[in-house]
Amino acid sequence: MMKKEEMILILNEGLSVEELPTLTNLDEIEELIDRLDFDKTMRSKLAKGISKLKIDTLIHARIFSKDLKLVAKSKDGY
Amino acid sequence: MLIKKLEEQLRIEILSRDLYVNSLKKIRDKGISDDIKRILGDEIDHIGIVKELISVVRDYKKPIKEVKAKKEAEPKVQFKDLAPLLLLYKTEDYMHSLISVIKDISRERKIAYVSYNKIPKYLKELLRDNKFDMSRIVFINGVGIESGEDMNVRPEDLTKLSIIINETAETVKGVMAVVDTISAFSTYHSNKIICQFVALMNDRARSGGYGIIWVAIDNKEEKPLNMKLAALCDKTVRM
Repeated sequence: MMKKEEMILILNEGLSVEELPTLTNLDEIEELIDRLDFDKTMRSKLAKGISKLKIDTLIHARIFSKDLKLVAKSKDGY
Repeated sequence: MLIKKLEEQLRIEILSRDLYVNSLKKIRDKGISDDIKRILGDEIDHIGIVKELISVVRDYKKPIKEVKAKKEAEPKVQFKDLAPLLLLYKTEDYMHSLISVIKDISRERKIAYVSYNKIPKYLKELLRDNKFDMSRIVFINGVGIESGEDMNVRPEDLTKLSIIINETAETVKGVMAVVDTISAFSTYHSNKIICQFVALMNDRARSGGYGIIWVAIDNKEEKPLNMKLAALCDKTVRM
């Protein structure tokens, strides 16, 4: 059985990767696309891809936060 | 430049996938394991999406020119002032903006950065990539995973956290402590305890001649705590 601390470590690592560097890099890509002169089709294709990545990443961060809260408040092993 | 950024994104997605594959080997709890499997599935999709984006940018026939200059946003806050401040961010999607804030603060004073729910190594990497002067920042690691290069404190131990912040302020005169995020404190503490801690730290900061910034997530669930925190700080800024 896994110790609570080990589980917290795994969840914190996940949360850290999702919020930093994933979201930060996606924000920078979005800013960059906005500054470049792509045509409408290309701009829309890129925006759709980046938006999907961002939405999923935000959901992942929420899942890790929720699980972290559950584990931190529990007394059991995992 | 865009290709470089997309390649970086691909590296991050692969890193995430490998991290979750390894995590799943260790986890026995079904609920958490199912959550990570779902996230892992997304990461595998993301690798495909990023590869596709790299390919469409490479195949784009027209010359790619920069038509808009990079926006240098006016800082919303002046950090010469040391008054305790509550910074409210709309979602978890706040780190990009917070990095700009860290840069703005570092022009005025040194920073003691309390990382409460994120492992500091990732922020350090980003700051180094942004050519940030790392001598302007010290890290207080409140995640509960010891790191040899930071000051470490267990997230449950608010007394030790207050001691570390105060000792840092004695060593680094006029330091600005940035607590990221006070919202995450609710993982380990009740709102009552969090408010008592914030009130105590704000008083110590005022009398000790250092600044303190509480970063909070501004959403419906956090509203009751944020309203109490706003009353304890000298200023609240919505970013």
